[in-house]
Amino acid sequence: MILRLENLTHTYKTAGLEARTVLDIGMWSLGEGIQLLVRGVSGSGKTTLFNIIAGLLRPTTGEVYLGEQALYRLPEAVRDRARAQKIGYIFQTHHLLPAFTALENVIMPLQFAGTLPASHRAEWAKQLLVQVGLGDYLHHRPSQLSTGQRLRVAVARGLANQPSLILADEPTAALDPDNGAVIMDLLQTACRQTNATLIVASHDPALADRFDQQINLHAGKITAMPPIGERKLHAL
Amino acid sequence: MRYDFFLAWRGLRARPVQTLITILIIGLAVGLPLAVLSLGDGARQGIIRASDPFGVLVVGAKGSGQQLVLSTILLQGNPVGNIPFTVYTDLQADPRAALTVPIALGDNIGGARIIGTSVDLLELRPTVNDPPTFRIAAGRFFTSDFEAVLGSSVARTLGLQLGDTFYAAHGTGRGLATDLHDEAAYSVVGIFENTTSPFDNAVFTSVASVWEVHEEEEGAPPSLLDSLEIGAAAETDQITAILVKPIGFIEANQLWQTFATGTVAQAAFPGQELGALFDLLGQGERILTAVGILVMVIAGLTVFLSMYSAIAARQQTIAIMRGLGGNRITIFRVVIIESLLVMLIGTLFGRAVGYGAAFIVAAALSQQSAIPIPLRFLPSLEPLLWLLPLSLGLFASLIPAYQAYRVDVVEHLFPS
Repeated sequence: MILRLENLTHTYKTAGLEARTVLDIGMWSLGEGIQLLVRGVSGSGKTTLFNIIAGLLRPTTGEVYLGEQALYRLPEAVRDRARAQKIGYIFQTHHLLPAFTALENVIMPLQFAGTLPASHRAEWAKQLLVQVGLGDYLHHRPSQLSTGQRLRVAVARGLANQPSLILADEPTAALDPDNGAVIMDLLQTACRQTNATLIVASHDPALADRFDQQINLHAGKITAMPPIGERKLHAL
Repeated sequence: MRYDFFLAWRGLRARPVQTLITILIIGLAVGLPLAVLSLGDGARQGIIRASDPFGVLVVGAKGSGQQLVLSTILLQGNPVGNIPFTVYTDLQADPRAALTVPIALGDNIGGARIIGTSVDLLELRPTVNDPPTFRIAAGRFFTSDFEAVLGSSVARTLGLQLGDTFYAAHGTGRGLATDLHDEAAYSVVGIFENTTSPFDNAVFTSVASVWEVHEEEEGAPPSLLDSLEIGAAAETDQITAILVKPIGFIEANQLWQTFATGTVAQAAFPGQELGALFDLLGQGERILTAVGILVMVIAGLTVFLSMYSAIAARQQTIAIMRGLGGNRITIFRVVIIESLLVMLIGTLFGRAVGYGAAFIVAAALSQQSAIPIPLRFLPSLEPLLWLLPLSLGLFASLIPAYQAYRVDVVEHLFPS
């Protein structure tokens, strides 16, 4: 298993307000190379789940295992490095750094991970940008790119360290269907090539057919979804 | 670590106006005390150098010893008064004096003082082993009245050459054409080599020439111009001062004592009198240095404010970096490096500002006063000029760096 969640809960406590549990997952795991769609309405806990899996948000209880590594038992700096090396996180609003070029944005996780020799980082980042169709935009800043191009940079950045797990939070939300399909093709193809596990959070029902598995998050709990084959039959 | 520098540099470039203003303030903060200290040092060196060419004792009219030295050696201000020529002749006969050079301050030509003196001037040298201070670069020394030898800068600035003639103007100010002593023309017979002293801006002639210019006016009614001839040895049996090189240290003190107890003249040691001047300079420097340090502290506060506001505005950027795997220590370090880079660039800029301003002021002062202000690199100041700004930069960045260290990643990545 590439990812295992054990008794995961997360509760937000705000002064003067009642504590609110937004995530409550018992035991859940995901195998290597699987492509999973996480569905759920806004506020269902998708982003919180992603942040916990990415090692950015310590759960109130429970543990996240990345391979055999218990993420939250690691010292923070080691967890940060593990995130850089093993997890590619593609944010909903891409979160490119505005002062850096497309190339520099892609190089950044390579620098933080430190796995690739320094002399190869720029070349590898260039290759990735060429792969996502931005070979002519290496030195453009995010403000000089379209929304779709920015998302492509974010995808290239997410793939930079050839992570074993890629998290993509609503990657196509800001795109039209055609551009959304192009991005999903890019992401899924890249993950298949490296056998990386892909978890995508999306509202978009049209994406369902693209994934091996899907789960539904409702009020922080995973609810079963019918297998893909059965859903196709219902549709008929 | 190299990448940390890259991130810090990018952080600075992302807010160019703020960065440039901060660098400017630091530059001025470093430059101001540097200019003051550099000019102070230059003034000291200049005065020491200017007093080098002369004997250890200056004899002149009773009054302020400092004024006597300043007016005779540095050609600054007006002399205390004149002394009888007999003081000079007596000293010439005194076995305790190895060399006596008369100084009769006269009128001016284009602002350059005309000095009546003797051939003994050519014997002046800083120490016995040094070459003479006054050496002829072109022509010869004067041998008769109304022959003149020009200081190097007079020849240059007034464009006078060997064989040229000129008239003296009244007093010590820059002569107007109507103020001329047109009774007797001086002719240029020689030009001195550069001595890097105020005497480069002087014209040398015989004492008798200075007297004769005024002698010819005797009998005429006193005019406004006469009253302007402050400091000129206008009386024919008087001179302004005497430079005396005693044969030894004991004799120097004996001569000083002789004049101290007499009523006609005083003797002054330039070193002692200039030492008092240095004390005055030192006081001014100390005050300005204290002001400079305060300005530097203000620059430190500017860096703090700049970094603090930059971090407040960059919390999402920091959160993204953390999201991509950057750890807190890296972020902390980048902020410190940013601050140190600003300080470093500001300090380098301050060098240019400090030495540049000192150079301009020194050139202007030298031109005004004819005292050279030689500027030099001040190695003794270097540790202070580097350590103080960099320490301030480090100190000013600690709170912003801690602020960056503590950025809540999730809160700033997902503000909703």
